[in-house]
Amino acid sequence: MATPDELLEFLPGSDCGQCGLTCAEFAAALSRGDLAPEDCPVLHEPDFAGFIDALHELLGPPAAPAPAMHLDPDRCNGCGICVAMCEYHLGNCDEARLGRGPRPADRVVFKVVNGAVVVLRQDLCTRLIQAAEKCNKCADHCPTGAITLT
Amino acid sequence: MICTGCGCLCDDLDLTVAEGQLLEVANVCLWGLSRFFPCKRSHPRKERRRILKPLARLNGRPREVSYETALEQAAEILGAARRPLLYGLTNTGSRAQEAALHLARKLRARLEPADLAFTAPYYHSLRKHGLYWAPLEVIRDEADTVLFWGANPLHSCPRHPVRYSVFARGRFTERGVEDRRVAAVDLYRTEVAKFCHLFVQVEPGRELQLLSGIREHLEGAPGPGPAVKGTRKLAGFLSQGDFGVIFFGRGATYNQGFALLDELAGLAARLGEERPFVLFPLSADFNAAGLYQLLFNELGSPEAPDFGHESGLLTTYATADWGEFDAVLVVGADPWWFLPEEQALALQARRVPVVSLSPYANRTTASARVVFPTALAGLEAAEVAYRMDGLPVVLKQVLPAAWPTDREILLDLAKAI
Amino acid sequence: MTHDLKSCFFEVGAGGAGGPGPLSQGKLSEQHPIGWYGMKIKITGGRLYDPAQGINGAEQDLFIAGDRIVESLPQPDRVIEARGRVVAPAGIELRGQVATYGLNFLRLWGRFPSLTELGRLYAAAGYTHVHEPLLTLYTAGYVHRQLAALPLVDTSASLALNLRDLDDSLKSPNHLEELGQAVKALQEKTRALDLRLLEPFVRYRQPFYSHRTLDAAQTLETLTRLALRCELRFSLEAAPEVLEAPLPEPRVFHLAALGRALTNPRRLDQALAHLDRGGTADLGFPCQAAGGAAEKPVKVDLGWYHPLNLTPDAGADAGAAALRLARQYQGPNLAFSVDGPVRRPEAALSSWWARLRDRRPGAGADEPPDREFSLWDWVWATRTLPARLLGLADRGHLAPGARADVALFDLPPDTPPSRWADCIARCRTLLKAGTVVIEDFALVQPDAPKATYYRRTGAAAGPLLAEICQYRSFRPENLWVTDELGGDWVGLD
Repeated sequence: MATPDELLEFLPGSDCGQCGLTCAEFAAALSRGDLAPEDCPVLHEPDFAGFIDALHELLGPPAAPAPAMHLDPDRCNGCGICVAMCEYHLGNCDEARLGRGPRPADRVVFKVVNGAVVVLRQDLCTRLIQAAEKCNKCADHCPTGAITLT
Repeated sequence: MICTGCGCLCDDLDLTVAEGQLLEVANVCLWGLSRFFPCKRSHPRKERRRILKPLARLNGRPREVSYETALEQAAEILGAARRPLLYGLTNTGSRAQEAALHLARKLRARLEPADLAFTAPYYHSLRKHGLYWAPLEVIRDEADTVLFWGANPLHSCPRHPVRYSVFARGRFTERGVEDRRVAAVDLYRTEVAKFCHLFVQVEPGRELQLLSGIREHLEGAPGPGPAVKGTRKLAGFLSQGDFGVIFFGRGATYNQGFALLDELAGLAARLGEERPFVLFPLSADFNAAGLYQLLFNELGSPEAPDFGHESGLLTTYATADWGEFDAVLVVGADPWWFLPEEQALALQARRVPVVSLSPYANRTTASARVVFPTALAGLEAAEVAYRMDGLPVVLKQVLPAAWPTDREILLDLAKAI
Repeated sequence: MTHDLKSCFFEVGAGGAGGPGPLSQGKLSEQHPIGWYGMKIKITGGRLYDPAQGINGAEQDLFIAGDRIVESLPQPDRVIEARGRVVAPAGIELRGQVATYGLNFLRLWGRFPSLTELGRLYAAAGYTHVHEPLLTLYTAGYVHRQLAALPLVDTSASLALNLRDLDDSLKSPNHLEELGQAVKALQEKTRALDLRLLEPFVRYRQPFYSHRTLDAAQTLETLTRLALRCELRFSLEAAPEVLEAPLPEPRVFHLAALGRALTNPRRLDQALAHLDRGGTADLGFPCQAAGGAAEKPVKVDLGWYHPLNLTPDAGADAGAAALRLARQYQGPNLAFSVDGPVRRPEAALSSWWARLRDRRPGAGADEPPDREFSLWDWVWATRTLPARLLGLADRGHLAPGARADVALFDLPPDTPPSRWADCIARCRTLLKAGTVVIEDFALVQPDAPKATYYRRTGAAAGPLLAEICQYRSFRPENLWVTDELGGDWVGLD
């Protein structure tokens, strides 16, 4: 697990305040696990491409073991049906709910990148938050059977 | 960013670009991905080769030449032709299409949209039955009965179900797929079946019988004899609902296209007596709609124009017989991909010269005498394109272009001839 | 593409075969060498008709320098002989359905001219501006692309609002200001010149939403308050129920295409009352179909309660009712317009004017006209008033300072009534912004520059606008009309 100082290296360092914190405070929140790298809006800009991934690498795997969601990239054709059907997105991401692709700064469980769906925040998945292990909407509606939930 | 993968023209792509290099595209489907990265459609790991320099054949072998030399040779080929054909155009921007029409006029050429065999039966049927039309915006808001006929949107336009037709949560379909009933008719069971409430697999050649059976059921007078399996269910499905739409795909026009579309349009008109009912062609090429809008605007008809006809201009729904032509210019299409082998060989035997404009190497460029590499519309070139429902969007240039655009080459050709 | 002048002339000299095509819309500066544009012209000896200045057929010279009409010129570069001819401002089509979404399907039956032809027909009939009545939130880009492809004539369009998108705000009286801002922002972002209502009520096809219904009286009452508060004006497409509803403040509403709403004498009286109270209207004569085999129905669903019918059965009644209204109304607030897709611009209005003018018993209508319809009335109803209604201050009149859009017609005073319609249908000479476009009935400048006019409202996008757009499949930023989708653009303040 990286220290806040190490994490700070991969933050914009501009203290722009868009997230409501300074970069140092953000780094501390990151190391506590209160926030995720995606929560920094600036890191979504093209100038910081790759920084989010680097932060994830530094942070290591999330503390709570998330329910396994297996995505088969060979089957996925990127139609985005899962993104629109996701129960978390239904309440929290207007773009995805209405059938459009989420914006870069939107907090989403998964989205389509380069033609295949990738998980961004598995911890937001409804199955983890509530007694909702019955939520299989993404897998149920996937026409190619690319999503397996266990 | 707008995706030029198919006629959906999804406008919600987010690109990550660093130092002039495209790193990542979010919200793009596997089909559209091939417009951004040099990979084959739906095969992200199979590479496609970008053409880097203009090519011209010397002693039968393609050689890299300068743009001016290629232009000179192409102009010579097309200028000397008695009966030139300008083919394709459904996968290029509207501004390039305008230039192509200008060139076709100048060459007195026949201009053939690449998907004429698909759209001609549709427009032909409208003349007989009239039409009820709605843009995808209204369909996503209101359609509660959706039928796919001979269409697999997950292959031809993967995000169509999510953005417009099945899962989209519109103004009056706020629960998305739960507010809709979806059915499909196809020769084979496809992935679409996964979200269809009714899937009818029809034997090849029995589609017309299925359609007439549905009509009879709707009139309350089913004919004697055994009906095609699924007739009754489909008739029941179609007769319910407040707003219906039939999306038909290429599958509907492979055989007996004119007869089938005639029946489909008749069925839609019949259903439309009681509720809004739309018959909608699911075009896969990203700017096919733009080409037909242009033909409508300029020539007053969606038929393929032939400027070389003795009457001055003849327009026709009939697809061209390749045997007629003595030079071919291909833009935004790859006809050698589907041309029957004997026809391709016949063209080769007759030494019909082919000029091709394409960003990537394909079968057509492999047989072409002159090849121009072009900038990708909507990524390296600014353009305008029409979504499959005829609404135009502006394609922006986001990356520097090392090659001229289709439009520039076509205009240069027109000037040089 | 730049289009050099030589090739333009070559095409015209060769009979203009094939037409300039879509490539010809260059910018002014690219097409016209200096000197051409600054031409000084004198139109001499014509009978001038300019109701705005009170000139009714007086023989008078007209001077043009560059693109403007001027008081006088010592040394014109060119003199246009107009002795015995009628000199009038160029026509302004107030309601020309030429670019409506879906209109292209009408071309399937081969009886609808291409856009190139249509623009030329308008110019031949003496028009320099065509206003498209039906542009909606998501067809705006389409309509503007079509308008840009209409050659020769300037264009503009009305934003047709779907009140269903605004029903919540219409119900809450405290949000009028916000609603006004949203409407103004929509107008600017879709680059519309004015606002139009096809259905001045809120009604849902889905029974589930019936509790949100608003009838015409309620809706018009709220819209009046909105208009007065936010300085808006609406063109109201006339339907019988519009004439049934009280219009509290007539100056707020322009009644468009009245003919089809005048289905009984009471509605005719209501229309007259609206006009007498200071409201304006246009007549909406039915477009005459070209005959031949019947077209099949073409309907386009744009999310209104009723789909848009592009092959309306105009019937003789609507025309007769419009004629009756024109005969009975004595004031200045009534413009001429057509109802339905325009096929033959030259014939659309002139024949109706000739019928109005003809006072012989049995000619044109069942009752003798109450007043004489003169050329003055024609110019007022097809030029002066339309220009004022569209807010084109320098158009529709011939006073110094006005843009030099002038049409010359061969219509000697002794022309027999049977020839009136033909004479007024084709102009001998047409000048647009000081450039001769038609000369001796022939098109001489097929590449005359054109522009699309819209209103700059300066309203900022607010949360209500985002709410209106939320169900669209487009991201809001891609809904709006950008420069590339039309033009050349002229924003009016």
